[in-house]
Amino acid sequence: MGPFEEHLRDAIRINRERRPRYSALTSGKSLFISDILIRSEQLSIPFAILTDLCSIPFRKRGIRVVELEFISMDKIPAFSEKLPFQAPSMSEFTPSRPGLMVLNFSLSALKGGWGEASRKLKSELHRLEATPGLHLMLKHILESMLRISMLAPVHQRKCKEQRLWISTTPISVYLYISHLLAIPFASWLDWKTAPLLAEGVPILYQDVPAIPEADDEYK
Amino acid sequence: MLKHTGLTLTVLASFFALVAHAEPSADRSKYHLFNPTPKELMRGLNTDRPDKTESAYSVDAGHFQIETDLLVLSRDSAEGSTVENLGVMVSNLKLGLTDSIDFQAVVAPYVSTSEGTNRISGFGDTTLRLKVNLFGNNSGDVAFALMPFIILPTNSGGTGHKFYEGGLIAPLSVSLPGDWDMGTMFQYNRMKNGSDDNFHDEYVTSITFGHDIIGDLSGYVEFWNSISSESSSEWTATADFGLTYRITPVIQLDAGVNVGVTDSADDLNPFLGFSALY
Repeated sequence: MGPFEEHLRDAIRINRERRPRYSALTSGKSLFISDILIRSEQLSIPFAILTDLCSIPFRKRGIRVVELEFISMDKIPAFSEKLPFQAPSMSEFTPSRPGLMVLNFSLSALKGGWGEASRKLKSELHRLEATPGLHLMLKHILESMLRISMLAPVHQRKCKEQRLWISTTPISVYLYISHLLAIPFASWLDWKTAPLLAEGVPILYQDVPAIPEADDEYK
Repeated sequence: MLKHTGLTLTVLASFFALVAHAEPSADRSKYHLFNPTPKELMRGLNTDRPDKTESAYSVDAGHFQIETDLLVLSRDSAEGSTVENLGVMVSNLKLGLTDSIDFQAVVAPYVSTSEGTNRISGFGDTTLRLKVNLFGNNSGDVAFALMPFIILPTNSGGTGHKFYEGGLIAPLSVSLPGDWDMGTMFQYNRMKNGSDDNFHDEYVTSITFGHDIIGDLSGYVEFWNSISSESSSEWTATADFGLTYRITPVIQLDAGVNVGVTDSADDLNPFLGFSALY
């Protein structure tokens, strides 16, 4: 099993385990969210397998594309019944504008490459820090895009060092685009989850791993 | 394996480079609606159907293309009731205005909806679209277009409402080695609410992969999904499968089925259609 597929299968397992526990906390109101999470992860598996297959020739040569992009689900917090900070108020929740975001992150990547994409993503993530208990799936997607855009030139350099006649860039581009297309879904899911978070239920908050920015992970 | 994957990746690698450089189209810029592209210079039949991901390629200047659902059905069962929709000759009529812009009118001469013994039918809405190819129409492996559209409430027989709707579609088409094609699309819709006279936003994204099967027969698989800002909205997603058959270089038959993979999507949506370029 490849790294992307493994990441998704772990996520499905964890969401299945936690589904009845959240349901008990919310009198069933969370089932809708848990089911959507599991379904979206299941539907992503064929694309994950395809991505993993494309990365095999590189990973065999020690270029850890796809592998480094996805953070192990072991890093998620243990299940807790309450948010570890004061629950956000629904009045703090402003629906994000996914259309503008997709446009912004597309143009920044097209015009300024990975560097500009990273800068824009950092800026948006900084803006989202103002609402720590909200926009959690959007943050997850943007953090992942930031990691992809920061790792892309590192993998690329590794290919050059090994004098490979092919590059990891297309895989990085594909991962970036597929995350870009997930922004509307993530924004929508955050909107649907916000009422539960406002009640202090830590759904999503403790179900996705924090994704660190990438440095030179080969060092 | 490495060689094959490498070829795929090498072609994909050109993506960023291609998008930064518009192709030279000076030779074709002289062609327009009243000065059609000569047959020997035509790009040929390239359709938006049968998948739901739109193509980034426009119809040749001065030429006409028709893409029709001869018959399209959908069936959705939920909570003991079943809703069935039928469309006949739902057609996208396209006209090449310039080398990179075409005008499209999607008309639905007959649509019907039935639930139990209740049935309504009539003329459907009409969608007017403009496809503006920004690059990749004539060369390269990547093409991108923008498609603004407006939906005119031309329906009759109670098959719809009387409000104007619209949006913008951004399709990206990529030719992969080994005759694989990839298409992806981002779409924004401004639509009327189901429950009142206000409007909401909808966002659609999709990705499709197509490949020749044998001779003139090709197939595709697609993932399509939509979310909405309407308060009662659910996530709608389908897995789509279909076949196309080229009878001649300018006439194509197609058939397929879209399968709902979320509760709010239609359970099944089979269709049969054809496309022709003149």
